[in-house]
Amino acid sequence: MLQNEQEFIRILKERLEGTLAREELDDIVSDYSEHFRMGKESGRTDEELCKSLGSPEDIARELKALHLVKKAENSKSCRNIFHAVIATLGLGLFNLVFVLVPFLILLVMLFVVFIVGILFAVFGPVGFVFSLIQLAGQPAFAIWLNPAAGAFFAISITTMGLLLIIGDYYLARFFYRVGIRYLKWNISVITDTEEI
Amino acid sequence: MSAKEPGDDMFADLVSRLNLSGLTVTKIILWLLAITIVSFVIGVGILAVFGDLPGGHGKTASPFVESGSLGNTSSFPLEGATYGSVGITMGAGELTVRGGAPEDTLMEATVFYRNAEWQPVIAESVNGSQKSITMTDKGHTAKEWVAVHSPNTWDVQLSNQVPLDLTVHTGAGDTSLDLSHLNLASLVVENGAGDTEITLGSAPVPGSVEINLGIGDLTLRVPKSGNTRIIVHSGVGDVSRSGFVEQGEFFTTPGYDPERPVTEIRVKQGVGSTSLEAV
Amino acid sequence: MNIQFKKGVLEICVLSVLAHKDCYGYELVNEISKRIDISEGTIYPLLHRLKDEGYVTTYLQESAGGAPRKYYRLTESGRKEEHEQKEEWMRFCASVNALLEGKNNAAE
Repeated sequence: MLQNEQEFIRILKERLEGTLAREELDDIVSDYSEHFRMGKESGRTDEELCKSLGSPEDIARELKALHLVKKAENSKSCRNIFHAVIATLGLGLFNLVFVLVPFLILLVMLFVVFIVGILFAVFGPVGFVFSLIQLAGQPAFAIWLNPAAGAFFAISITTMGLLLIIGDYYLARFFYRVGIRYLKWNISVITDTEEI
Repeated sequence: MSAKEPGDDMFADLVSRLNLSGLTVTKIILWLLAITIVSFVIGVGILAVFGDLPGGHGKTASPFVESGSLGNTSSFPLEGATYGSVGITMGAGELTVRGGAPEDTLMEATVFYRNAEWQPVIAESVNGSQKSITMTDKGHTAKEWVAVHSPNTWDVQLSNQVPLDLTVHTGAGDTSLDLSHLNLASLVVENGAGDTEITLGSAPVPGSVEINLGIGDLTLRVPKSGNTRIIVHSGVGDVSRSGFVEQGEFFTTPGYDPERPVTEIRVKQGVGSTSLEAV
Repeated sequence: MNIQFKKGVLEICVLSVLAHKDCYGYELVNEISKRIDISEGTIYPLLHRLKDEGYVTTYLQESAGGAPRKYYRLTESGRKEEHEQKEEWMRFCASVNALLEGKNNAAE
C-alpha cells in the first residue's frame, strides 16, 4: 500500500477525532510526525516508514479501545463499558470468542439472577398472604398442605429474593472491575495482523 | 486522572440515591440473611413436628387429635330415582371417583381423615325423579390445620345405572376419576393444584365435559372406539396426544364421525403437561 | 487471520531499554526493531499507555539538529514494574528451558 506521511496522519486523525480529546490526539500525532521526521533524516523514504509502522487503522483502533476502556474505568456506567467492549471487539475477530461471548454470558447471568430475585420478592408476599387466608379457613386458597409452615417459607422466599437482588448489584460491580482489567490485558497482549 | 464526580459512577450513584452508607447496607444484608434462615428453619420445624415432610409420618401430638385415622363409609340409595346429580367439593386432599356402586345405590363414599371434625358434609335432595347429592369439605379452621396432619382421602363410588351429572371441585391435591363404566350425562372437573387423571367410557356424553386445571399434570384417557373430540387450551406445558387425530383445533378419536353422537371435551390448563391417550 | 502474542513481550522490552537509558521515540523504536520483528507503530500507543499508568514520563530536550525531541524516562514505579516483569520473564524462560531440555534428555 503506497502511503505517505500525510495519508498516515490523516487516517489517524480521521479515526480518532470524535473519541480522543484534542490534546491527546495532538500528542499522538506529534509522536508519529516526529518519527517520520527522524526517519527521513536518516534517509528512509515515506513509503518505507509507512510500511514499518504498520497500518494506521490498526493503530487507531488500539488507541481508541485503550481510551474507551480507560474512560469506562474512571466513569463507571453501562454505556461506557458497552463502548469499551465494542471497541475491543474491533481489534480482531477472535475477540468475538474471547470478549463478546464472556460479556454476553455475564449479562445473561446478571439478568437471570435479577429476574429470579424479583420473582421471589413479588411472589413471596403473595404466598404469605395466601397462607394467612388459608389459615383463616378458606380452602379455595389452599396452595400448600401446611399453611403455617407455608407462611414461614413465604417469608424466607421473600427475603431471599431481596438478597438475590442486592447480591446481583455486588456481582455487577465486581464483574465490571474484573472486566476492565481483562479488556486492558486483551488490548495490550493480543493483536491480529495480516502481515508479520 | 480526573477527579471523580458524583454522576460518573453508576454504582456509587445507586447507593447514594438510596441514601445508604456502606455500613447500613451490610446490616440490611445480615438481617435479610438471618430472616431467610430463621424462617426456613421454622417452616421445616413445623413440617417435622406436624408430619408433612415428604416420606415422613405424622405424629399426633395435639390434644385435639384422636389417634389413628378415622374412616367411615356412607351410602346413599337411589330410591327409585332415574337421574342423578353429584357435586363434590374438596379443599385439599386426595380424591378418587369411580363407578361400580352397589345395586340401587347412587353414591357410596368412604372418607379417611384424622379429626372427626373434618368429616365432609353430605346433603341429599330429591326433585321428581332426579336425586342430587353434594359432598362438601367444610373448610378448615386455623386450629385444625396446625393440629392435624393430612392425609385427607375420599373414595367415592357412583352408580353405573342412571345417567349422572358429575361436578368435581378440588382446591389442591391429586384427583383420580375412573368414569369408564358410568352413564355420564355431563362432567365438570376443576382442580386448582395437583395432578388429575380422568378415564372416560365409550358411551358418548350428551352434555358438556369441561376440565379446568390450574397447576398440575393432566392425563385424560378415552377409548379409541368412542366418538370423541377434544379441544385443549394449555398455558405452559407440553400437550401429547397419543392415538388421536388432529383436525383443525380439535383432537379426535380415529374413526370420528360428527354425524353420530359426539363427546366433546374442553380442556383448559394453566401450568402442566397434558397427556391425551386414546386407548 | 494471524494472532500474535509478541505484543505482550513488547512492554517488558520497552521498559528494559528505558531502564538503561532515556530515549526519544524514534531511538526506542529502532533499538527494539533491531532485535524483534514487530509492527513499529504499536510502540507509540504502548508508550502512551505506560505514561497513563505512571510508569514513564516525558520531557523535551534540545537536539543537535535544532528541533526539540520528546524523551521518555522511567519513573520510580516504572523501575519497580520493570524489575518485576523481568523476574517473571526470567522465571518463565527458565521453566520453558527446563521443559525443553528435559524432553531432549528423554529423547536421547
